Amino acid sequence: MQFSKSYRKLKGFTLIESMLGLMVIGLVSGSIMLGITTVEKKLFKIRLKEHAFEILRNYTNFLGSRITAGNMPDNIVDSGKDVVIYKHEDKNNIVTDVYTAKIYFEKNRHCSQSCKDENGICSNICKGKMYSLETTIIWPNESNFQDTLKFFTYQIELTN
Amino acid sequence: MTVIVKPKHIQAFTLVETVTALVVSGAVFIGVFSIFAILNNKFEAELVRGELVTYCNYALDDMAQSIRLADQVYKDNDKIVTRNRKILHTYAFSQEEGILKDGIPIHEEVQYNLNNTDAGISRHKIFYIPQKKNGFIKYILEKWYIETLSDFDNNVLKNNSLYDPANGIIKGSSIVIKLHAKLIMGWDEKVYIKKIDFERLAFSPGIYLENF
Repeated sequence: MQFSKSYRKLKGFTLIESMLGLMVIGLVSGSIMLGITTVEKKLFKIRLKEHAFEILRNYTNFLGSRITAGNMPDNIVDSGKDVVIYKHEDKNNIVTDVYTAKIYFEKNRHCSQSCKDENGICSNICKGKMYSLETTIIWPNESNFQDTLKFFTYQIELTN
Repeated sequence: MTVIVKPKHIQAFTLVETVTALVVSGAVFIGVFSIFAILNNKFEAELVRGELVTYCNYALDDMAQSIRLADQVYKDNDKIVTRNRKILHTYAFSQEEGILKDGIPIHEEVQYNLNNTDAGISRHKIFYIPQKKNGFIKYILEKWYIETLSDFDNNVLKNNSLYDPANGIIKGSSIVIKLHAKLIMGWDEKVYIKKIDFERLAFSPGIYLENF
């Protein structure tokens, strides 16, 4: 009489299968995290741009008012100031994060041909004065969010 | 004669395997769901933030435009009045209705039918709805602040070199408007996600000439 015995067989994943599974999970979760980080970075960049836009608009309006009133700002002295474009405060009003930008402007006088002297420079023969005003904001100085916004406008000076 | 003894073998998961599989899949499900919920909340908060920013910018631009064209700007109780010859505008602040222009909540209405033959067929594009019908608070306008630049500089800015060198008349003719808003996205007004501030600086040549 002969007996045959069936052995218990243990079934499991092989090393390659487990590694493949881990790799797929790692790739999927990694791409999700990367996507979230990229979107958050882009949103923050948009927020910085919004703030910078608001600051530049207000500053351009202020410079325009100074030109209107004949209170000319000096390109060299007044240009290139530091402004805060983003500030994060915690619940205790302690500032934890600050992004600054530099704000510049350039003004040039414009006039018709009849008001120019022989060198092509606007003379004071004509009373009306018009200036072009270009304002620029560059932010932040040392970071990967660096960006620039420019405004260009014309402004007349009120004369009596 | 060969006798094969083969015990009846039913293939199935053991209790430990089943429980482990349930725990692992449950954890994965909770993880995926929480990521989805967080992303969804952030996305919704961002949409609402965009809505708030658009509204505040629109309201501030409207006020700044009225100030630029005005010969006179003065306070009447809590209201701001701008007067340009015979055209008069009043602006008031309300936490429930937003900024009121001439007593009406400020909004931009898009009229599709230019001939206006179908009255009522229009759509409000920019509006202030801080709360949903079920009481969920999206955002709230906290307060506003309107002062001349000279007063603002003395009280708030103090050492702001950005607006320093101008003469007093320019500062007296430039009006600063500030709006403080809170993004809430919840049921409790006191618990907010973030504060958002808006600012406009409007120079009025009319006021300047009056003061000169």
